[in-house]
Amino acid sequence: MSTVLKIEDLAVSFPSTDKRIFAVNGLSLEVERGEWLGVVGESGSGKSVSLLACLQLLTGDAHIDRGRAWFEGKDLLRVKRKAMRTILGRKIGMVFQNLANGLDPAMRIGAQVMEPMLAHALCNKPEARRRALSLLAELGLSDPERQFERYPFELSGGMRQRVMIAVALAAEPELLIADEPTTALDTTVQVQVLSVLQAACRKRQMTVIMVTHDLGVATNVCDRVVVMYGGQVMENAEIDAFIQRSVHPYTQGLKGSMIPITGSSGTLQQIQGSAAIFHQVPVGCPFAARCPHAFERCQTERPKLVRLGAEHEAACHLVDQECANVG
Amino acid sequence: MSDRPFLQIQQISKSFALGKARIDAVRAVSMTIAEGETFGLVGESGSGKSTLGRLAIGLMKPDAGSVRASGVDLVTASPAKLREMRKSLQIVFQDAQSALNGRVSVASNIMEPLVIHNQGTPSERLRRIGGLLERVGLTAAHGPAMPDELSGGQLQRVMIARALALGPKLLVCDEILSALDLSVQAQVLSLLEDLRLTEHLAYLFISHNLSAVSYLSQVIGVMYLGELVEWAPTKSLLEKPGHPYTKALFDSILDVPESKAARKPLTILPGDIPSVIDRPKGCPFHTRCPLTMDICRTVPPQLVQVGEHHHAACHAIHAAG
Ligand SMILES: Nc1ncnc2c1ncn2[C@@H]1O[C@H](COP(=O)(O)OP(=O)(O)OP(=O)(O)O)[C@@H](O)[C@H]1O
Ligand SMILES: Nc1ncnc2c1ncn2[C@@H]1O[C@H](COP(=O)(O)OP(=O)(O)OP(=O)(O)O)[C@@H](O)[C@H]1O
Ligand code: SF4
Ligand code: SF4
Ligand SMILES: [Mg+2]
Ligand SMILES: [Mg+2]
Repeated sequence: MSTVLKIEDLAVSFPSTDKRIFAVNGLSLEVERGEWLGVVGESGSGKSVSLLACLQLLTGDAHIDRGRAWFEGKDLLRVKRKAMRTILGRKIGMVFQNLANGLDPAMRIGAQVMEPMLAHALCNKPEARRRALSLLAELGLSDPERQFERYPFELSGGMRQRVMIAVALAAEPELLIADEPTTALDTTVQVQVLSVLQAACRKRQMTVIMVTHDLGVATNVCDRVVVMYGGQVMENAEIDAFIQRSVHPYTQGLKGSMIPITGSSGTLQQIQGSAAIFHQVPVGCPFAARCPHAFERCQTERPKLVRLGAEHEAACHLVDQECANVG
Repeated sequence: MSDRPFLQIQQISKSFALGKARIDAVRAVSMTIAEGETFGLVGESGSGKSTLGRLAIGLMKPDAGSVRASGVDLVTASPAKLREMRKSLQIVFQDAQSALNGRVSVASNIMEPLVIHNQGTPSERLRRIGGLLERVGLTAAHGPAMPDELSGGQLQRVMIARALALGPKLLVCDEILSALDLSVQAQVLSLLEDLRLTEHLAYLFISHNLSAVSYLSQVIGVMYLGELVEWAPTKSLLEKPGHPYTKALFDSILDVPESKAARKPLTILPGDIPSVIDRPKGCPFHTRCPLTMDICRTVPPQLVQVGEHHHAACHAIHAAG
């Protein structure tokens, strides 16, 4: 397998807020060709900021403190703006978290789906129209001919999300980055959209990075899951290892807070407190303030990712010690 | 748990103008919430849940139908009587940040309803607030804090404390979990359940989150395009959903599978939700229903009893039963 995107030791902060915020603090991850990678973690754990940083899409006062993001032999963090324009939309497609941000409200649906093909000179206009119509139909948009002439506000949330996916796939990119693509949708529509997204990506053998805070979504569509907290990787596991053998206290906390469909109240497990905002680079384990197992070493030393299996690693001193004791 | 009805809603409807058209946000809904009971309300976006929530506590007047709380009809009550009733009928919204006054302390925010309703002396109010903060899992030390110093979960607790200030009997919770992380959602759910058991509070719990609704509610109602299409005790609804939409809704929950190999196929309901302007004739669900029959396209099914305390509106059940 070959690596499509490799992020190394990425650090991003926001210096000019009254207290500097350290959003991403040494993140490393890779995604292999054809793989569907899930990135999970609570709000504020740095999922969006790290991916936006790799695409040079962070706005305002964000500062990339260090790191590399390798894609096709180039470091995306250092590629010139102009070269970036030949990558975004063409080699890397994006679907954003916020529904409203993704589509241009003043532009007809059809023109928006054709735009990436024309902008990257992939085909002429009639051909772009033909491809756009077939793509919209493939994504389950009913009556694409009619929707082609409509504006985004005339569509339901589920239809708009299908159109956004169509725009992201229009130029046949190799890598799709989807940030909470179904979070704003109702459950029955969410399943529909995930299903067409999965089919379309499989057919094109695309590589996908999907950010979600929904473990149900991640475990049903992803091949591997990376758990983030405090802008770092806590655990990285192939999906069966993630479901059956996750070891990190934060991963277990997230799993424990999932509300079971039982129809009767029992006690819910909870992670104490809420996700922290870091005004200093975390010295020890970023999760230490909330971790039920935290001990001295957690406050002072950053846990390294420890390999637990061929496709499973976790960053936790407790796990590290247990491994040392066993091995 | 008592079975004494606290809130009784009879055939209420509410429509809004949308350009030249009118949309029926709530259509002929009837339901009952017992004292100390959680009634969970689910349904897709735009199905009328928030509108029903506002109608239920007299924040909005229905075009037709009646709403009774403790036997008092909120629709015909005098303004003075309605004001009196409002003490026992409170609501908490999703967006705690904007629902609170950001320029005054947490304590002042909680005190506001007490001041408006002229309850207690200033020192009694202060004592009350300390108690309320502790009741929702905060401490008196949070009183002087400004809202922007608190996290989302803490703000939602402050909102609940404020709603509890006047000693309500029914709390409408409108999507109060949406902006919260999973771990914090679990904390808020535990708090609500605890309050129900200790204060005998009833809830109308509106949420997209089906797991949360089934966890918390004794009774669940399902809305589709403004209509209450099914309404039943939670256990009965989960085990024997009567309406095809209810079934599709609960089937669409993505649970963590036992392994990759054990994943269930992503179940699909065809089509998108119709726009409220092009409401389908007959059964509102017929454009997506796997069981559609001829009669469904023309005749709207009535909500009828299909089991013990179990009501559903679907021709297929009526035909079978
Ligand atoms: N423009 C900004 N200015 C200052 N701080 C920011 C900005 N954008 C993000 N942050 C901070 O960076 C941290 C990481 O944010 P990020 O949006 O990456 O989180 P996330 O994991 O995507 O969360 P969510 O699940 O809510 O989308 C947070 O503490 C956030 O407050
Ligand atoms: N004040 C209003 N004026 C005009 N239309 C309204 C008003 N309030 C609600 N509506 C419309 O009534 C319908 C029902 O809305 P409502 O907010 O009750 O739905 P909901 O089930 O709460 O949806 P959501 O899950 O998105 O919150 C929608 O079509 C909405 O656009
Ligand atoms: S390193 Fe320490 S604080 Fe961090 S997760 Fe492990 S035990 Fe908890
Ligand atoms: S009435 Fe007909 S269309 Fe409506 S839910 Fe029942 S079977 Fe389906
Ligand atoms: Mg995000
Ligand atoms: Mg609503």
